[in-house]
Amino acid sequence: MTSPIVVRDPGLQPERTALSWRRTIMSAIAADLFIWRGWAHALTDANARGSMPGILHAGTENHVLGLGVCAMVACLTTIVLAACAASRIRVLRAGVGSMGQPENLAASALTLRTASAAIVALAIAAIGAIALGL
Amino acid sequence: MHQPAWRRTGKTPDYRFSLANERTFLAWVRTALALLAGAVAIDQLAPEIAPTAVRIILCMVLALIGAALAIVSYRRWAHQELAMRHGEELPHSWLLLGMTVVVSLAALVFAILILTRP
Repeated sequence: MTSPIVVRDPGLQPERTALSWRRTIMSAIAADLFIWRGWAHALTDANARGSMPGILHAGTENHVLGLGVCAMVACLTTIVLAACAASRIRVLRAGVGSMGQPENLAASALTLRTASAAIVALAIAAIGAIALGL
Repeated sequence: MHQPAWRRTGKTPDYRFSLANERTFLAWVRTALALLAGAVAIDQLAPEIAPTAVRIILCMVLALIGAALAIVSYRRWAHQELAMRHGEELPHSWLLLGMTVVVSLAALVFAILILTRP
C-alpha cells in the first residue's frame, strides 16, 4: 500500500521556529508580571495609607493611576505579540506540507516589525513603572 | 500581503536560512525582553541595592537598551534577509560585540553594588 509521502524537513525548522515564538511570548509575560506587581503594590500601599487619613502622600493616587496605565500598556503589547505569534505559527503549520515554495514559509516583514514595535511599547511601560515605583 | 519594496527584489531564500534568520531575530527579542524584565525586577526586588536615584538611572538604562535592542534586531533581520535575497555576504554587525560589552558592564556594576552594599 502506498501513501502520499509528505516531505518534511529533517531539521524540523518550522516546528523549531514555532517553539521560538512561544518562548518569546513567555518571556514577554515574565516582563509583564513585574510591571503588574508594581501596580498591585502601589494599590495596596495606597489602601493602607487611605485607612489612616493625614498620612496620605500627595501624588500617591497619580502614581497608582500611572502604574495602572503602564500595566494596561504592558498587557496590550503582550496581546499584540501573541497575535503576531499566532499568525506566524498558523503560517508555519500550513507551510509544512509545501516546503518546495519558500514563499509559503517566509515571515512577513509586517509581523516582525509589529513584534519589534510591541516590545518598544513594553519598554516604555517598563520605564514608566520604574519612574513611578513607590 | 503587503511587503516592503526591498522584499520584492532578488530571490526568496531557502526556507531553512530564512527561518534560521527569524529565530535569530526572536532570540534577540527575548534578550531585549530579559533586559526589560531584569530592569523592573531589580527596581522592585532590590530597592536597597544603591541610592534611589542611582538605582532608577541604572534600571532605566537597562530598559532603554532593551528598547534599542528590539529595534536593532528587526533591522538586523531585514539586512540579513536582503543579503540572502541577493546572494551576497551576510553583513557584519557590531551587535554581538555591543551586547557582550553591555552585559559584562552590567554584571560588573551590579557585582560592585552588591559587594559594597552596607
